[in-house]
Amino acid sequence: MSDFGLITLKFSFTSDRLLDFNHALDLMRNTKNISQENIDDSKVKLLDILTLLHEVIEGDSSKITVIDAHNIIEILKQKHKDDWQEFVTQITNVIDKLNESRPILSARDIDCLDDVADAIDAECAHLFRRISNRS
Amino acid sequence: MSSYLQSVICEEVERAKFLKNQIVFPLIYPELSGLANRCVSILDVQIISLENLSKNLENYVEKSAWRLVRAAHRKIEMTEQWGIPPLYLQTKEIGLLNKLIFDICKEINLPLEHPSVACFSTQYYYTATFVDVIFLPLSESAFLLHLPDIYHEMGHYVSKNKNQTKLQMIGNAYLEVCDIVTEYFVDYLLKKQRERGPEATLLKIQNFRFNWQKNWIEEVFCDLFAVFLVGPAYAWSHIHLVTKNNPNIYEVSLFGNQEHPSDEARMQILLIALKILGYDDECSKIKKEWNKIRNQWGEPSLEFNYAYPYELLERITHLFFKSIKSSPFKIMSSSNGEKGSVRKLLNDAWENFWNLNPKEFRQWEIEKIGELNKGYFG
Repeated sequence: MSDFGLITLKFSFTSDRLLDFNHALDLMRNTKNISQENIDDSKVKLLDILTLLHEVIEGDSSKITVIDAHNIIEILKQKHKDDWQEFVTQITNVIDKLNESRPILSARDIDCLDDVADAIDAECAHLFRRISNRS
Repeated sequence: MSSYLQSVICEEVERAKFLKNQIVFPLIYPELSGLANRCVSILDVQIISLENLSKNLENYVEKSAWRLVRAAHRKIEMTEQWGIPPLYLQTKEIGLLNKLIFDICKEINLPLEHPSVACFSTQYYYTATFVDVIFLPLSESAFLLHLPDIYHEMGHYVSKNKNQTKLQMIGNAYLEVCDIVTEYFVDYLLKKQRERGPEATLLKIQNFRFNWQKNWIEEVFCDLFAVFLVGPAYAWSHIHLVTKNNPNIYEVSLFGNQEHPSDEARMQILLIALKILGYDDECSKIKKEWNKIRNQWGEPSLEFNYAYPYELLERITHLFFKSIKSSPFKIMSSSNGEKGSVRKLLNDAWENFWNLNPKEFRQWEIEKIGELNKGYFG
Protein backbone atom coordinates (compact mmCIF):
# COMPACT_ATOMS: atom_id res chain seq x y z
CA MET A 1 0.00 0.00 0.00
CA SER A 2 2.59 2.51 -0.96
CA ASP A 3 2.56 5.26 -3.58
CA PHE A 4 4.95 3.15 -5.64
CA GLY A 5 2.14 1.71 -7.73
CA LEU A 6 0.92 5.16 -8.67
CA ILE A 7 4.36 6.46 -9.53
CA THR A 8 5.25 3.48 -11.71
CA LEU A 9 1.90 3.84 -13.43
CA LYS A 10 2.61 7.52 -14.05
CA PHE A 11 6.10 6.64 -15.24
CA SER A 12 4.85 4.06 -17.76
CA PHE A 13 2.18 6.38 -19.06
CA THR A 14 4.46 9.42 -19.30
CA SER A 15 7.16 7.34 -21.00
CA ASP A 16 4.69 6.19 -23.64
CA ARG A 17 3.54 9.78 -24.21
CA LEU A 18 7.19 10.87 -24.58
CA LEU A 19 7.82 8.27 -27.29
CA ASP A 20 4.60 9.23 -29.09
CA PHE A 21 5.38 12.92 -28.85
CA ASN A 22 9.00 12.50 -29.94
CA HIS A 23 8.02 10.34 -32.90
CA ALA A 24 5.32 12.80 -33.96
CA LEU A 25 7.73 15.69 -33.61
CA ASP A 26 10.35 13.91 -35.76
CA LEU A 27 7.74 13.43 -38.49
CA MET A 28 6.65 17.05 -38.34
CA ARG A 29 10.20 18.38 -38.73
CA ASN A 30 9.86 17.79 -42.44
CA THR A 31 6.45 16.82 -43.77
CA LYS A 32 7.36 16.87 -47.46
CA ASN A 33 7.22 13.13 -48.11
CA ILE A 34 4.93 12.21 -45.26
CA SER A 35 1.48 10.78 -45.92
CA GLN A 36 -1.60 12.72 -44.75
CA GLU A 37 -2.48 9.77 -42.51
CA ASN A 38 0.86 10.01 -40.70
CA ILE A 39 0.53 13.77 -40.41
CA ASP A 40 -2.95 13.43 -38.92
CA ASP A 41 -1.71 10.84 -36.48
CA SER A 42 1.22 13.06 -35.46
CA LYS A 43 -1.04 16.07 -35.02
CA VAL A 44 -3.26 14.10 -32.63
CA LYS A 45 -0.26 13.00 -30.57
CA LEU A 46 1.20 16.50 -30.35
CA LEU A 47 -2.14 18.17 -29.67
CA ASP A 48 -2.94 15.61 -26.98
CA ILE A 49 -0.09 17.00 -24.86
CA LEU A 50 -0.11 20.63 -25.98
CA THR A 51 -3.84 21.09 -25.37
CA LEU A 52 -3.54 19.58 -21.91
CA LEU A 53 -0.62 21.87 -21.03
CA HIS A 54 -2.45 24.87 -22.45
CA GLU A 55 -5.61 24.13 -20.46
CA VAL A 56 -3.68 23.76 -17.23
CA ILE A 57 -1.69 26.94 -17.90
CA GLU A 58 -5.01 28.73 -18.45
CA GLY A 59 -6.12 27.50 -15.04
CA ASP A 60 -8.37 24.58 -15.97
CA SER A 61 -7.16 21.67 -13.87
CA SER A 62 -10.47 19.85 -13.80
CA LYS A 63 -9.19 17.09 -16.07
CA ILE A 64 -7.93 13.93 -14.43
CA THR A 65 -4.84 12.77 -16.24
CA VAL A 66 -2.15 10.29 -15.39
CA ILE A 67 0.46 12.54 -16.96
CA ASP A 68 1.38 15.32 -14.54
CA ALA A 69 0.83 18.49 -16.55
CA HIS A 70 1.66 20.68 -13.55
CA ASN A 71 5.13 19.18 -13.22
CA ILE A 72 5.81 19.49 -16.94
CA ILE A 73 4.72 23.13 -16.85
CA GLU A 74 7.02 23.79 -13.89
CA ILE A 75 9.94 22.32 -15.87
CA LEU A 76 9.05 24.53 -18.84
CA LYS A 77 8.73 27.59 -16.60
CA GLN A 78 12.21 26.90 -15.26
CA LYS A 79 13.62 26.98 -18.78
CA HIS A 80 11.52 29.95 -19.87
CA LYS A 81 11.55 32.04 -16.72
CA ASP A 82 12.56 35.13 -18.69
CA ASP A 83 10.10 34.74 -21.55
CA TRP A 84 7.26 32.68 -20.07
CA GLN A 85 4.36 34.65 -21.54
CA GLU A 86 6.00 34.62 -24.93
CA PHE A 87 6.45 30.84 -24.68
CA VAL A 88 2.78 30.38 -23.72
CA THR A 89 1.79 32.41 -26.79
CA GLN A 90 4.08 30.22 -28.86
CA ILE A 91 2.32 27.07 -27.57
CA THR A 92 -1.02 28.63 -28.57
CA ASN A 93 0.34 29.40 -32.03
CA VAL A 94 1.56 25.83 -32.50
CA ILE A 95 -1.83 24.50 -31.37
CA ASP A 96 -3.54 26.73 -33.94
CA LYS A 97 -1.19 25.56 -36.70
CA LEU A 98 -1.64 21.89 -35.76
CA ASN A 99 -5.37 22.32 -36.16
CA GLU A 100 -4.78 23.06 -39.85
CA SER A 101 -5.00 20.17 -42.31
CA ARG A 102 -1.34 20.14 -43.41
CA PRO A 103 0.55 22.41 -41.07
CA ILE A 104 3.93 23.84 -41.91
CA LEU A 105 5.85 24.43 -38.73
CA SER A 106 8.53 27.10 -38.49
CA ALA A 107 11.91 26.58 -36.78
CA ARG A 108 10.50 28.47 -33.80
CA ASP A 109 7.50 26.11 -33.63
CA ILE A 110 9.82 23.11 -33.74
CA ASP A 111 11.98 24.60 -30.97
CA CYS A 112 8.85 25.03 -28.88
CA LEU A 113 7.90 21.37 -29.43
CA ASP A 114 11.47 20.28 -28.66
CA ASP A 115 11.25 22.15 -25.35
CA VAL A 116 8.01 20.37 -24.51
CA ALA A 117 9.56 17.00 -25.43
CA ASP A 118 12.57 17.81 -23.20
CA ALA A 119 10.20 18.68 -20.36
CA ILE A 120 8.33 15.36 -20.71
CA ASP A 121 11.72 13.62 -20.79
CA ALA A 122 12.73 15.45 -17.58
CA GLU A 123 9.42 14.45 -15.94
CA CYS A 124 10.11 10.80 -16.88
CA ALA A 125 13.57 11.12 -15.33
CA HIS A 126 12.03 12.63 -12.19
CA LEU A 127 9.51 9.77 -11.87
CA PHE A 128 12.27 7.26 -12.58
CA ARG A 129 14.38 8.70 -9.74
CA ARG A 130 11.38 8.57 -7.39
CA ILE A 131 10.77 4.93 -8.26
CA SER A 132 14.39 4.09 -7.66
CA ASN A 133 14.34 6.06 -4.39
CA ARG A 134 17.05 8.31 -5.59
CA SER A 135 15.29 11.55 -4.81
CA MET B 1 26.26 12.89 -34.70
CA SER B 2 28.55 12.21 -31.75
CA SER B 3 30.39 8.92 -31.46
CA TYR B 4 29.58 9.10 -27.75
CA LEU B 5 25.90 8.69 -28.61
CA GLN B 6 26.72 5.61 -30.74
CA SER B 7 28.76 4.14 -27.87
CA VAL B 8 25.95 4.65 -25.38
CA ILE B 9 23.47 2.99 -27.73
CA CYS B 10 25.81 0.02 -28.16
CA GLU B 11 26.33 -0.31 -24.39
CA GLU B 12 22.59 -0.21 -23.68
CA VAL B 13 21.89 -2.89 -26.30
CA GLU B 14 24.53 -5.15 -24.72
CA ARG B 15 23.11 -4.50 -21.25
CA ALA B 16 19.61 -5.47 -22.39
CA LYS B 17 20.96 -8.65 -23.99
CA PHE B 18 22.85 -9.53 -20.80
CA LEU B 19 19.67 -9.15 -18.74
CA LYS B 20 17.74 -11.34 -21.15
CA ASN B 21 20.35 -14.05 -20.62
CA GLN B 22 19.70 -14.00 -16.87
CA ILE B 23 16.24 -15.48 -17.50
CA VAL B 24 16.91 -19.19 -17.71
CA PHE B 25 14.24 -21.37 -19.29
CA PRO B 26 12.65 -23.66 -18.28
CA LEU B 27 11.71 -21.68 -15.18
CA ILE B 28 11.64 -23.42 -11.81
CA TYR B 29 8.18 -21.96 -11.18
CA PRO B 30 6.01 -21.84 -14.32
CA GLU B 31 3.79 -19.24 -12.59
CA LEU B 32 6.62 -16.79 -13.30
CA SER B 33 6.40 -17.35 -17.06
CA GLY B 34 4.15 -14.31 -17.50
CA LEU B 35 6.80 -12.11 -15.89
CA ALA B 36 9.55 -13.74 -17.93
CA ASN B 37 7.64 -13.02 -21.12
CA ARG B 38 6.96 -9.43 -20.07
CA CYS B 39 10.64 -8.81 -19.32
CA VAL B 40 11.83 -10.42 -22.55
CA SER B 41 9.29 -8.40 -24.47
CA ILE B 42 10.27 -5.07 -22.83
CA LEU B 43 13.97 -5.79 -23.41
CA ASP B 44 13.41 -6.88 -27.01
CA VAL B 45 11.52 -3.67 -27.77
CA GLN B 46 14.42 -1.62 -26.37
CA ILE B 47 17.01 -3.65 -28.28
CA ILE B 48 15.13 -3.27 -31.58
CA SER B 49 14.47 0.43 -31.02
CA LEU B 50 18.11 1.14 -30.12
CA GLU B 51 19.48 -0.93 -33.01
CA ASN B 52 17.17 0.91 -35.44
CA LEU B 53 18.26 4.21 -33.98
CA SER B 54 21.91 3.24 -34.35
CA LYS B 55 21.43 2.24 -38.02
CA ASN B 56 19.51 5.39 -38.92
CA LEU B 57 21.18 7.89 -36.65
CA GLU B 58 21.80 10.36 -39.48
CA ASN B 59 18.03 10.76 -39.86
CA TYR B 60 17.62 12.01 -36.30
CA VAL B 61 18.16 15.38 -34.69
CA GLU B 62 20.64 14.76 -31.87
CA LYS B 63 18.25 16.01 -29.17
CA SER B 64 15.58 13.60 -30.30
CA ALA B 65 18.03 10.69 -30.46
CA TRP B 66 19.20 11.31 -26.91
CA ARG B 67 15.60 11.39 -25.69
CA LEU B 68 15.04 7.97 -27.27
CA VAL B 69 18.22 6.58 -25.73
CA ARG B 70 17.28 7.85 -22.29
CA ALA B 71 13.76 6.43 -22.61
CA ALA B 72 15.20 3.01 -23.52
CA HIS B 73 17.81 3.21 -20.76
CA ARG B 74 15.13 3.90 -18.12
CA LYS B 75 13.08 0.93 -19.28
CA ILE B 76 16.09 -1.39 -19.31
CA GLU B 77 17.11 -0.27 -15.82
CA MET B 78 13.57 -0.63 -14.47
CA THR B 79 13.32 -4.13 -15.90
CA GLU B 80 16.66 -4.90 -14.23
CA GLN B 81 15.49 -3.49 -10.90
CA TRP B 82 11.96 -4.89 -10.69
CA GLY B 83 11.49 -7.64 -13.24
CA ILE B 84 14.70 -9.64 -13.45
CA PRO B 85 15.47 -10.27 -9.72
CA PRO B 86 12.50 -12.60 -8.98
CA LEU B 87 13.31 -14.51 -12.16
CA TYR B 88 17.01 -14.68 -11.33
CA LEU B 89 16.47 -15.70 -7.70
CA GLN B 90 13.40 -17.99 -7.92
CA THR B 91 13.56 -18.86 -4.22
CA LYS B 92 11.04 -21.18 -2.57
CA GLU B 93 9.34 -18.14 -0.99
CA ILE B 94 8.95 -16.53 -4.41
CA GLY B 95 7.60 -19.84 -5.72
CA LEU B 96 5.03 -20.13 -2.92
CA LEU B 97 3.74 -16.58 -3.28
CA ASN B 98 3.48 -16.83 -7.05
CA LYS B 99 1.50 -20.05 -6.78
CA LEU B 100 -0.69 -18.31 -4.20
CA ILE B 101 -1.39 -15.31 -6.42
CA PHE B 102 -2.08 -17.65 -9.31
CA ASP B 103 -4.80 -19.29 -7.18
CA ILE B 104 -6.15 -15.89 -6.08
CA CYS B 105 -6.48 -14.80 -9.71
CA LYS B 106 -8.45 -17.97 -10.49
CA GLU B 107 -10.68 -17.53 -7.42
CA ILE B 108 -11.59 -13.93 -8.13
CA ASN B 109 -11.83 -14.59 -11.88
CA LEU B 110 -9.31 -11.92 -12.86
CA PRO B 111 -9.84 -11.34 -16.58
CA LEU B 112 -6.18 -10.49 -17.16
CA GLU B 113 -2.87 -12.30 -17.17
CA HIS B 114 -1.91 -12.78 -13.52
CA PRO B 115 0.64 -10.39 -11.99
CA SER B 116 3.76 -11.80 -10.35
CA VAL B 117 5.11 -11.55 -6.81
CA ALA B 118 8.58 -10.93 -5.40
CA CYS B 119 9.36 -11.04 -1.71
CA PHE B 120 12.34 -8.82 -1.03
CA SER B 121 10.57 -5.52 -0.50
CA THR B 122 12.07 -3.13 2.01
CA GLN B 123 8.97 -0.89 1.97
CA TYR B 124 6.02 -3.09 2.96
CA TYR B 125 3.75 -3.89 -0.05
CA TYR B 126 3.99 -2.10 -3.37
CA THR B 127 3.43 -2.80 -7.04
CA ALA B 128 5.86 -2.22 -9.85
CA THR B 129 3.15 -1.76 -12.47
CA PHE B 130 5.86 -1.37 -15.09
CA VAL B 131 6.49 -5.13 -15.02
CA ASP B 132 3.35 -6.05 -13.03
CA VAL B 133 5.23 -7.37 -10.03
CA ILE B 134 3.83 -7.05 -6.50
CA PHE B 135 6.60 -6.68 -3.94
CA LEU B 136 6.22 -8.02 -0.41
CA PRO B 137 8.64 -8.27 2.50
CA LEU B 138 10.48 -11.61 2.76
CA SER B 139 8.61 -12.82 5.86
CA GLU B 140 5.19 -12.52 4.23
CA SER B 141 5.54 -16.03 2.86
CA ALA B 142 5.44 -17.31 6.46
CA PHE B 143 2.52 -15.23 7.80
CA LEU B 144 -1.11 -14.70 6.85
CA LEU B 145 -2.45 -11.59 8.58
CA HIS B 146 -1.11 -8.96 6.18
CA LEU B 147 -1.57 -11.00 3.01
CA PRO B 148 -5.02 -9.46 2.28
CA ASP B 149 -3.06 -6.33 1.28
CA ILE B 150 -2.03 -8.23 -1.83
CA TYR B 151 -5.60 -7.62 -3.10
CA HIS B 152 -5.07 -3.85 -2.77
CA GLU B 153 -1.95 -4.17 -4.91
CA MET B 154 -3.92 -6.21 -7.44
CA GLY B 155 -6.30 -3.25 -7.49
CA HIS B 156 -3.47 -1.13 -8.93
CA TYR B 157 -2.97 -3.76 -11.62
CA VAL B 158 -6.69 -3.79 -12.43
CA SER B 159 -6.79 0.00 -12.45
CA LYS B 160 -3.88 0.10 -14.88
CA ASN B 161 -5.92 -2.07 -17.25
CA LYS B 162 -9.28 -0.43 -16.63
CA ASN B 163 -9.69 0.68 -20.21
CA GLN B 164 -9.54 -2.88 -21.56
CA THR B 165 -12.90 -4.10 -22.88
CA LYS B 166 -13.49 -6.58 -20.06
CA LEU B 167 -12.87 -3.90 -17.44
CA GLN B 168 -14.65 -1.09 -19.19
CA MET B 169 -17.25 -0.77 -16.41
CA ILE B 170 -14.41 0.08 -14.04
CA GLY B 171 -12.97 2.59 -16.49
CA ASN B 172 -16.38 4.22 -16.77
CA ALA B 173 -16.80 4.28 -12.98
CA TYR B 174 -13.46 6.09 -12.68
CA LEU B 175 -14.74 8.81 -14.97
CA GLU B 176 -18.01 9.03 -13.08
CA VAL B 177 -16.24 9.21 -9.73
CA CYS B 178 -13.98 11.92 -11.11
CA ASP B 179 -17.05 13.87 -12.18
CA ILE B 180 -18.78 13.66 -8.81
CA VAL B 181 -15.58 14.62 -6.99
CA THR B 182 -15.17 17.63 -9.29
CA GLU B 183 -18.83 18.57 -8.93
CA TYR B 184 -18.69 18.27 -5.16
CA PHE B 185 -15.61 20.46 -4.70
CA VAL B 186 -16.59 23.00 -7.35
CA ASP B 187 -19.98 23.46 -5.63
CA TYR B 188 -18.27 23.71 -2.29
CA LEU B 189 -15.77 26.23 -3.60
CA LEU B 190 -18.54 28.39 -5.11
CA LYS B 191 -20.44 28.27 -1.83
CA LYS B 192 -17.40 29.46 0.10
CA GLN B 193 -16.71 32.14 -2.51
CA ARG B 194 -20.27 33.44 -2.14
CA GLU B 195 -19.82 33.48 1.61
CA ARG B 196 -16.64 35.50 0.98
CA GLY B 197 -14.59 32.89 2.85
CA PRO B 198 -10.89 33.52 3.46
CA GLU B 199 -8.50 32.90 0.59
CA ALA B 200 -6.80 30.11 2.59
CA THR B 201 -10.07 28.15 2.79
CA LEU B 202 -10.54 28.37 -0.97
CA LEU B 203 -7.00 27.14 -1.54
CA LYS B 204 -7.56 24.22 0.85
CA ILE B 205 -10.69 23.15 -1.00
CA GLN B 206 -8.80 23.28 -4.30
CA ASN B 207 -6.06 21.19 -2.75
CA PHE B 208 -8.53 18.55 -1.51
CA ARG B 209 -9.94 18.27 -5.01
CA PHE B 210 -6.43 18.09 -6.47
CA ASN B 211 -5.46 15.25 -4.12
CA TRP B 212 -8.68 13.36 -4.80
CA GLN B 213 -8.14 13.55 -8.53
CA LYS B 214 -4.43 12.97 -8.52
CA ASN B 215 -4.13 10.25 -5.88
CA TRP B 216 -7.10 9.34 -3.74
CA ILE B 217 -9.56 8.05 -6.33
CA GLU B 218 -6.97 5.44 -7.32
CA GLU B 219 -6.16 4.46 -3.73
CA VAL B 220 -9.83 4.32 -2.76
CA PHE B 221 -10.50 2.10 -5.76
CA CYS B 222 -7.71 -0.27 -4.67
CA ASP B 223 -9.07 -0.40 -1.11
CA LEU B 224 -12.55 -1.15 -2.41
CA PHE B 225 -11.28 -3.70 -4.89
CA ALA B 226 -9.54 -5.47 -1.99
CA VAL B 227 -12.48 -5.43 0.40
CA PHE B 228 -14.99 -6.50 -2.26
CA LEU B 229 -12.77 -9.39 -3.31
CA VAL B 230 -11.37 -10.65 0.00
CA GLY B 231 -13.95 -9.33 2.47
CA PRO B 232 -13.39 -8.40 6.13
CA ALA B 233 -9.83 -9.76 6.20
CA TYR B 234 -8.75 -6.64 4.30
CA ALA B 235 -10.25 -4.27 6.87
CA TRP B 236 -8.61 -6.26 9.67
CA SER B 237 -5.32 -6.17 7.87
CA HIS B 238 -5.64 -2.41 7.53
CA ILE B 239 -6.29 -2.00 11.26
CA HIS B 240 -3.27 -4.21 11.92
CA LEU B 241 -1.04 -2.02 9.78
CA VAL B 242 -2.32 1.22 11.30
CA THR B 243 -1.90 -0.15 14.83
CA LYS B 244 1.70 -1.12 14.13
CA ASN B 245 2.66 2.10 12.35
CA ASN B 246 0.57 4.55 14.36
CA PRO B 247 0.14 7.24 11.70
CA ASN B 248 -2.16 10.24 12.17
CA ILE B 249 -5.44 8.64 11.09
CA TYR B 250 -6.94 12.05 10.36
CA GLU B 251 -4.14 13.16 8.06
CA VAL B 252 -5.21 15.79 5.57
CA SER B 253 -2.71 17.86 3.66
CA LEU B 254 -3.99 21.42 3.39
CA PHE B 255 -1.64 22.78 0.78
CA GLY B 256 0.41 19.95 -0.68
CA ASN B 257 0.46 16.53 -2.21
CA GLN B 258 -0.86 13.63 -0.14
CA GLU B 259 -0.52 10.21 -1.73
CA HIS B 260 -3.10 8.32 0.35
CA PRO B 261 -6.38 9.48 1.85
CA SER B 262 -6.41 9.43 5.65
CA ASP B 263 -6.79 6.07 7.38
CA GLU B 264 -10.02 7.22 9.02
CA ALA B 265 -11.56 7.97 5.61
CA ARG B 266 -10.28 4.67 4.30
CA MET B 267 -11.83 2.80 7.23
CA GLN B 268 -15.15 4.59 6.72
CA ILE B 269 -15.11 3.42 3.10
CA LEU B 270 -14.24 -0.14 4.10
CA LEU B 271 -17.10 -0.23 6.60
CA ILE B 272 -19.58 1.05 3.99
CA ALA B 273 -18.30 -1.66 1.62
CA LEU B 274 -18.62 -4.44 4.20
CA LYS B 275 -22.22 -3.38 4.87
CA ILE B 276 -22.94 -3.60 1.15
CA LEU B 277 -21.50 -7.14 1.16
CA GLY B 278 -23.71 -8.07 4.11
CA TYR B 279 -20.99 -8.46 6.72
CA ASP B 280 -22.96 -6.71 9.47
CA ASP B 281 -21.49 -8.67 12.40
CA GLU B 282 -17.92 -8.29 11.21
CA CYS B 283 -18.59 -4.63 10.62
CA SER B 284 -19.51 -4.13 14.27
CA LYS B 285 -16.41 -5.99 15.44
CA ILE B 286 -14.12 -4.01 13.12
CA LYS B 287 -15.76 -0.74 14.12
CA LYS B 288 -15.26 -1.56 17.79
CA GLU B 289 -11.57 -2.24 17.26
CA TRP B 290 -11.14 0.83 15.04
CA ASN B 291 -12.81 3.03 17.64
CA LYS B 292 -10.01 2.16 20.06
CA ILE B 293 -7.56 3.70 17.58
CA ARG B 294 -9.88 6.66 17.01
CA ASN B 295 -10.10 7.34 20.73
CA GLN B 296 -6.35 7.65 20.82
CA TRP B 297 -6.50 10.40 18.19
CA GLY B 298 -9.56 12.27 19.45
CA GLU B 299 -11.81 14.14 17.07
CA PRO B 300 -10.89 15.01 13.47
CA SER B 301 -10.27 18.60 12.42
CA LEU B 302 -12.87 20.64 10.55
CA GLU B 303 -10.70 20.32 7.44
CA PHE B 304 -10.93 16.54 7.69
CA ASN B 305 -14.70 16.70 7.24
CA TYR B 306 -14.28 19.09 4.31
CA ALA B 307 -11.78 16.79 2.60
CA TYR B 308 -13.60 13.50 3.18
CA PRO B 309 -17.34 14.20 3.34
CA TYR B 310 -19.18 11.00 4.27
CA GLU B 311 -21.80 11.39 1.52
CA LEU B 312 -19.02 11.56 -1.09
CA LEU B 313 -17.31 8.46 0.35
CA GLU B 314 -20.64 6.64 0.25
CA ARG B 315 -21.37 7.58 -3.37
CA ILE B 316 -17.88 6.58 -4.50
CA THR B 317 -18.13 3.23 -2.69
CA HIS B 318 -21.47 2.42 -4.34
CA LEU B 319 -20.25 3.44 -7.78
CA PHE B 320 -17.11 1.33 -7.58
CA PHE B 321 -19.09 -1.60 -6.13
CA LYS B 322 -21.47 -1.48 -9.07
CA SER B 323 -18.57 -1.41 -11.53
CA ILE B 324 -16.64 -4.27 -9.93
CA LYS B 325 -19.82 -6.34 -9.66
CA SER B 326 -20.62 -5.73 -13.33
CA SER B 327 -17.10 -6.82 -14.32
CA PRO B 328 -16.13 -10.51 -14.49
CA PHE B 329 -14.93 -10.57 -10.85
CA LYS B 330 -16.30 -13.00 -8.29
CA ILE B 331 -17.19 -10.72 -5.40
CA MET B 332 -16.77 -11.94 -1.81
CA SER B 333 -19.94 -12.28 0.24
CA SER B 334 -20.88 -13.36 3.74
CA SER B 335 -22.70 -16.37 2.33
CA ASN B 336 -19.78 -17.29 0.12
CA GLY B 337 -18.05 -20.22 1.90
CA GLU B 338 -15.58 -21.27 -0.78
CA LYS B 339 -13.99 -24.04 1.21
CA GLY B 340 -10.28 -24.32 0.52
CA SER B 341 -9.97 -20.95 -1.15
CA VAL B 342 -7.19 -18.48 -0.38
CA ARG B 343 -9.64 -15.75 0.62
CA LYS B 344 -11.42 -18.14 2.99
CA LEU B 345 -8.04 -18.97 4.52
CA LEU B 346 -7.21 -15.27 4.99
CA ASN B 347 -10.56 -14.58 6.67
CA ASP B 348 -10.18 -17.71 8.83
CA ALA B 349 -6.77 -16.41 9.86
CA TRP B 350 -8.33 -13.25 11.22
CA GLU B 351 -11.12 -15.13 12.97
CA ASN B 352 -8.56 -17.39 14.63
CA PHE B 353 -6.34 -14.47 15.46
CA TRP B 354 -9.11 -13.07 17.65
CA ASN B 355 -10.32 -16.40 19.03
CA LEU B 356 -7.09 -18.23 19.85
CA ASN B 357 -4.29 -17.26 22.18
CA PRO B 358 -1.16 -15.91 20.42
CA LYS B 359 0.78 -19.18 20.63
CA GLU B 360 -2.15 -21.28 19.50
CA PHE B 361 -2.74 -18.87 16.64
CA ARG B 362 0.87 -19.01 15.49
CA GLN B 363 0.73 -22.80 15.62
CA TRP B 364 -2.43 -22.74 13.49
CA GLU B 365 -0.82 -20.28 11.08
CA ILE B 366 2.33 -22.44 10.73
CA GLU B 367 0.15 -25.47 10.02
CA LYS B 368 -1.78 -23.60 7.33
CA ILE B 369 1.38 -22.29 5.67
CA GLY B 370 2.73 -25.85 5.83
CA GLU B 371 -0.43 -27.12 4.11
CA LEU B 372 -0.03 -24.48 1.42
CA ASN B 373 3.57 -25.52 0.84
CA LYS B 374 2.61 -29.19 0.80
CA GLY B 375 -0.22 -28.51 -1.64
CA TYR B 376 2.07 -26.60 -3.96
CA PHE B 377 5.33 -28.49 -3.66
CA GLY B 378 4.27 -31.95 -2.42
